[in-house]
Amino acid sequence: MTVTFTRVALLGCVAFLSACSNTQGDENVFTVGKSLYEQINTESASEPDPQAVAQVAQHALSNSDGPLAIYRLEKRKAVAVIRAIGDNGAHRTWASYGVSDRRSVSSRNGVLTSTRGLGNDLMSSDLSALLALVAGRKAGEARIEQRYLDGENQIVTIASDCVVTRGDRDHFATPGNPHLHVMRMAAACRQDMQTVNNSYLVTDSGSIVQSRHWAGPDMGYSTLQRLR
Amino acid sequence: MTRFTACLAVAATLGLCPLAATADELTTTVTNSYGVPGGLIDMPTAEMAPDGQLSATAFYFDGFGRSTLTFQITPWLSGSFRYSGTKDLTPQFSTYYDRSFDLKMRLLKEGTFTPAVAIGLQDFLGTGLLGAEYLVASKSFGDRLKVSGGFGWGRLGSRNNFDGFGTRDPFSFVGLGTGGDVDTSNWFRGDIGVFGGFTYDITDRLTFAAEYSSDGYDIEQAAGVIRRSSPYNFGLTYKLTPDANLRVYSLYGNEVGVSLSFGLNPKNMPIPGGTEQAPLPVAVRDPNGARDLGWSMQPNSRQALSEQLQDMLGKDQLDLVGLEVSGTTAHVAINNPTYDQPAQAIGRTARIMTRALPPSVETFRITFSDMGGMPSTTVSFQRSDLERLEHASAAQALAAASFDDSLRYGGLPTPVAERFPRFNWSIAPFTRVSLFDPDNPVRADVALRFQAQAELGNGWVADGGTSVKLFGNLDKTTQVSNSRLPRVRSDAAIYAREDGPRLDWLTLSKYHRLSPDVFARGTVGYLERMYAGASAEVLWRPVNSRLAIGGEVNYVQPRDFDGGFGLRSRRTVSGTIPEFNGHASVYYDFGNGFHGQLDAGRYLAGDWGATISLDREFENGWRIGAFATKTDVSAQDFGEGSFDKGIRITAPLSWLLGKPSRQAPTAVIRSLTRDGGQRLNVRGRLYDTVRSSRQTDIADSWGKFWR
Repeated sequence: MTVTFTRVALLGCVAFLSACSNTQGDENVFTVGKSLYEQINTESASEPDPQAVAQVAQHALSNSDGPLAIYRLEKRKAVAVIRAIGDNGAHRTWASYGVSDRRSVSSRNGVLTSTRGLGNDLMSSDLSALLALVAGRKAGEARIEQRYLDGENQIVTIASDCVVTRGDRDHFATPGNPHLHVMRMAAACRQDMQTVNNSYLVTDSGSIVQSRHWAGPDMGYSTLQRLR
Repeated sequence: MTRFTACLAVAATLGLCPLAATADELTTTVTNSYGVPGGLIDMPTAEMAPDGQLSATAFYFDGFGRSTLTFQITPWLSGSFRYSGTKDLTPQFSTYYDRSFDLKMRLLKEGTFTPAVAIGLQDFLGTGLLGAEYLVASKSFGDRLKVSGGFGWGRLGSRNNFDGFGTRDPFSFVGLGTGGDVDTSNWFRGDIGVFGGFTYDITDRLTFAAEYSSDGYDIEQAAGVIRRSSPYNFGLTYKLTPDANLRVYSLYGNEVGVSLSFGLNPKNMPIPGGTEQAPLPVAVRDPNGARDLGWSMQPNSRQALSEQLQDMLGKDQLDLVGLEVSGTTAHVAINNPTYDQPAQAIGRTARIMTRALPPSVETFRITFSDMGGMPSTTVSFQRSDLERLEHASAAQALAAASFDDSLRYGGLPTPVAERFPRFNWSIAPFTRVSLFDPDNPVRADVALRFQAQAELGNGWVADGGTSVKLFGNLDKTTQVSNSRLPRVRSDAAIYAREDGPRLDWLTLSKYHRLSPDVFARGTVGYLERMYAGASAEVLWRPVNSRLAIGGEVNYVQPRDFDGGFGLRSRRTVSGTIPEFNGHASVYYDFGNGFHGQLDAGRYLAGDWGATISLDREFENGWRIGAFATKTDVSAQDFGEGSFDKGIRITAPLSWLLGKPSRQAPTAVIRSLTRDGGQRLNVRGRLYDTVRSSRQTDIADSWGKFWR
């Protein structure tokens, strides 16, 4: 069987002047072309259909257990229903529900701390001071750090000085708990070149159930919203 | 305008009070007609391109063409290589082709009130048709206006000039064919010309340029190929993208010219961090589980673990080569065919180990074991550090890792069952290019190559490649070798004549560790396209050293021209090819992005000498460098070019694709291949094989550890 397959594959290579190999990582002019084509074509994403997202969310709620959330990258117009795939101390790592493609994001108390496989990834964050104020529903000042890779794979850190303010009380609904009391918190974070405005919804027990948090120069704002 | 009023005009412009000057360091991606960074036309400026910028410029006007590759070597130094052609310049050739090298160095950065100042050498190696030196100052006034003026020697001192120091030998076509020596005796000698000009940004994309040229085009006017009726040149630049510019010019009163330049900066990866799939997260142990050693009593536990690890590593395109597990320590040997950033291979393996290994295992050791299972470097972690630092800055995990030569652990962990032998094969088209043949500057063949490799274990690797030419014109060259040395390379055209399938190489190699920090390689077989024989190499490369020292000895027999299994006589019309050649090499990573290599020894033709190479290396795998070989062959015996030299560019596919790949093709631009200073092209030399798995390179790539 293998021999026959190899032979057919070889014929294919020669006939179509395409290139092939038995090793996965091998690249050549053709795979390079294909890959570039894919890169260009994923950039023209259109606004996702909220109906479709709701359907996936519904499916996830009734067919799985464990934490679920909705993740949105505003600038890239991308939305995904995500499920927890691992916990490490205060950090939780999430992956898309029902998709085998391995992309993940991590959060700490409901706020994005890192991404993997999204391109221009947020490699890690130090949000301790900010999260202490937000979860405690206290106004104050906090310094945070977010780390990225530059074009030479070296770590670059973007530091922000955040001014945290308290907002109004509000309600937040999850499918399992339609009447959660929350407080709106805002953080205006000043960087070298700009100021970004993050916002959070915090329960009375200090859980952040929804966050709109700046993820990076390329990604812009990302929203993490608890489903379960 | 007389020479003195022009001089005064430039001086006056430079002396103007600055209008809210911004110190943007005068960087530009625009190149002039010589392909050198700068916004003027035929004249240089003190502008520089952004650090690392690589640009290609094609310029043409009535019978004159210049193609230039420029690299911004450091923020203050740019180097250019140019191939220019002039029609009907001499009766010898219909088009006179000439190669030239330039260097431009910024001496002073632009200040609020002071201009940037640069010194330049134009065509300083080679035949000197374009030879010139200059000292130029540039100043920006506001955001849109940049003014430059300077003094030129040689070509740039041929008009609007005054007497300089000493005399300069006039350019002559006599003695062509051996150019290439550095001749400093003419630099900054002879008449001094004054030139100047300005650029003005009309919009963000459109720029106007005007200049007063001190280049008289004397040789070209004498040959009747240009009439220079005005010293003034004008240009319009349209920025197509931030790195690409289209320019049109009015030149010397009568001519219209056009240029197109494309730039690329290795530092600007299209997608930093890549788009490859996410790693598996660290699995954190249940704090009560760590003491349970019950698993280690079970028979087949190693087999089961090995299968599980193999499966998980396979999904990340890594390869398990060996495994040793005790109650508290696990040692995994991996082959990394995928990740160009070695720290990423380590990071992925470490996370997989947290998911696969029993909780009692606290110490992780990961050994790089490429090339048929030759151990190189072992990286060790405490598992609890990995658990603790997964979401921290990668620098902390680096501090928690320790690096050792693998031999300090007594070698590899036991090889996993059925890992060896392993066969890899691929079929892909490739091109073979010949440059700078005066009859046809670019010749190429496109061929299809089948290559296969068998990793046999214990450091044994069998490797072969065959190719079939599909189409091309490499065999059309009519250049006849006039070499006075044994024909070790100059018969390339005869090798290119045969269309049928040819054996490119077929070798058996053994990679071996002699002692900690010392590597060895032995290769026998059909070593390369032109030679068969045997090659032996030793390399000393400590685990965390910037310095490496190596030596290589080769025994060669020339192969038949038809690319079959046959050999031919070592006797050639101009001498006998010696059986033995070899080199001693010193490699040094300067640590600031520069890498140097010195090879000294006996070359293929039996000539003795040395090759010096200097590369700018980017951490993402780009390498741009130059090399030169000088041997005891005289310039006359060597032939055109005087000595072997060239430029090489390595472009990592991972940069372009945005996902890991260890493939990084290298393009070498060199003069027509001669017989002096030629080395054997044996595959799999130790330094590049070993380097990526040593501590220095792993640590440099650590940003990708958690990626």
